[in-house]
Amino acid sequence: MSEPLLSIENLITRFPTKRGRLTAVDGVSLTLERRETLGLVGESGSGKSVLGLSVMRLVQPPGMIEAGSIRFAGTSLLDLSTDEMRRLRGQRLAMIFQDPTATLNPVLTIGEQIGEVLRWHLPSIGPAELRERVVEMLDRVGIPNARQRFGDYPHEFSGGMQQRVIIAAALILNPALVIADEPTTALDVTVQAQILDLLRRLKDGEPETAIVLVSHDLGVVGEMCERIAVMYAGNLVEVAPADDILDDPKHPYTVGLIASIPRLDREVGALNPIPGRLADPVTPPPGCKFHARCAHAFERCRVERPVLKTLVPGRQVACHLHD
Amino acid sequence: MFGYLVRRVLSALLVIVCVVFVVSAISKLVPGDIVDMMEAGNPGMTEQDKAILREQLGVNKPVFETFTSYLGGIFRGDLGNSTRLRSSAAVLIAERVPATLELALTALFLALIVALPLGILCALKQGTAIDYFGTIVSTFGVAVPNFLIGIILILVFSVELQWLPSTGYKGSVVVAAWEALKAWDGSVLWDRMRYILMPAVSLAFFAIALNTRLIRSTMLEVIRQDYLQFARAKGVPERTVYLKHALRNALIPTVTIVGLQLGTLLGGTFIIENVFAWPGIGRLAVQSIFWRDYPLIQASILVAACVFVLINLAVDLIYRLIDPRIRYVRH
Ligand SMILES: Nc1ncnc2c1ncn2[C@@H]1O[C@H](COP(=O)(O)OP(=O)(O)O)[C@@H](O)[C@H]1O
Ligand SMILES: [Mg+2]
Repeated sequence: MSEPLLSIENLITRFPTKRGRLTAVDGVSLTLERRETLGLVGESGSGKSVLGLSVMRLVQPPGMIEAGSIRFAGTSLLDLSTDEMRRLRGQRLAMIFQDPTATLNPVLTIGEQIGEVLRWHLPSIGPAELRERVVEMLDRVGIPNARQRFGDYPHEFSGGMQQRVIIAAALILNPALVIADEPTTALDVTVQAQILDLLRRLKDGEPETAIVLVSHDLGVVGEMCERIAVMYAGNLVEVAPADDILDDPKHPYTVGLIASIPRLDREVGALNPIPGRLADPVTPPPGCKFHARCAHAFERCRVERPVLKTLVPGRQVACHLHD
Repeated sequence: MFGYLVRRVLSALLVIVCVVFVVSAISKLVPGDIVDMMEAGNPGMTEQDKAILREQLGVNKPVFETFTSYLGGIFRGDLGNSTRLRSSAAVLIAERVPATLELALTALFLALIVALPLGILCALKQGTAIDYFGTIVSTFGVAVPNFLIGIILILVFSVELQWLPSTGYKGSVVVAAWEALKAWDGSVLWDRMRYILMPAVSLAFFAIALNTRLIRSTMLEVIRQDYLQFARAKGVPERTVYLKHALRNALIPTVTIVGLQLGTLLGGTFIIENVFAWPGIGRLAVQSIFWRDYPLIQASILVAACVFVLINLAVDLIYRLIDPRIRYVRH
């Protein structure tokens, strides 16, 4: 088998804070194949965004990647120079963010903000061609009257349309990997479905693109993704094909998440699926970080941290119940 | 935008009319007989002079009539005559407007050109020694009154070091700069700049300090915004992320404040022009108060107030042009 598109090994990302060092990503290892759609789920604060930003090498100081490696399409990202890394962003690696209104620069036109990708990666492109390609992309993401809207400002679009603009900027150069960090969380329920549909359609039309779809909603991810990785307090606790996870979750945390898949009539984000709170990322408890909230915890869970082990090929879980 | 423009201009006009009313009523507001008081500041007035003045100032007319005749004078370009200098107040003021504007605009320019890099530097180096130093200097600058800065500058650079003249004015720096460019000779320019340097710095000090803090805090606010991460995620280099994406947003509140500062700076010229004997409206106005030269006082207040209102109007409109969020809200 050829090398995976992305392989993350033992990645640790920390932020120094007043209370001490906050470990947002705590030894994550994960691989992603070309063209794959992987869902990354977990409660808010479990480190999904920081993991995505780490892959983009966009963790803002004083936060930093302290250990581990990230290989992407045969290159080790952490060994690249700043400028080499910059050239990958937008071209081979792209990221879509959670809140479209905050993601678009309010004082620049959307044509400028999409066109910027072309300008930095294809320096020889002329203004007419740039405009043409941007309009074409706006059309592909379903912006009506794309040509007339090139010079419009972000506030002249609805949230859903803004997210389409962002998707256009992220996908205009057909990147090999798109990290979509909760692309629908800030949107209305009906618009959410449209955006997911758009992502799926764009991916199907694009033979080379893999997507990491981040969400705190297993329901969304279950529909879209081939494989799901469940994250808890900076650790991956379970990784498996989507159907397997939904039909037969192994980790008690995954079980809890599935029990609370939101229905359309319930408010998003208002659920606290599992009793108790996320483990403190500055002073994590000893043993399994989930043990305080786990109905099945036993003595070993309180002292020894479980590692991600392969149960059967393709299924991994980090839990002493499954040793 | 057009409807807004009309409304905004009309409200500015209304303010100016109110100013004219108050200014024209000054002769009524002064306790006692205004013309007798003027005599104290202008020895050598005859009874006939006093009668003419009473007529001019409308001392014996009702308030509204005073107002309409003053307003009528304005439309004829007549702001009354200075009793002390014995010539048209309008002409006296017009002669001094360029010097004041030049001083205020130079101070404004300094307030931006110094504060902008300083504020950005403090924001990018937040929490470091540079940032603390900037904070101390700007706190100092906001706290110390401008005339004190002026006096300190005179003591250091004129009295001790003898580098710069303490008072005076040799003509427009802008004109000199233009001539220097044409003739490729900077000697005249430098000679004039030596005069404006200390007044402009003392006038601008407060604004520099305030703007540094303002730019630092807006920049800190902007630096955390998601749109900068998005720009980086598109492959935009860090320098462009700051200079294009961050700075444009940080400039919006800055331009508003800086524009309004021009009004404050004009007010500051009333003091600074007297410290440095700068021949502008501020100095003229203060002199006219000492001379109890009421027509000149009226005219100076009127012109200063109108300039202030017009500047606010211009700033408001410019603000709307640079911030697209506001530009399109009112069609
Ligand atoms: N810039 C930052 N500075 C300090 N702590 C941060 C920063 N960004 C994220 N964190 C912390 O890292 C942890 C993981 O955050 P995040 O990745 O945003 O979670 P998620 O995306 O899963 O909701 C949280 O505890 C959060 O407080
Ligand atoms: Mg997040």
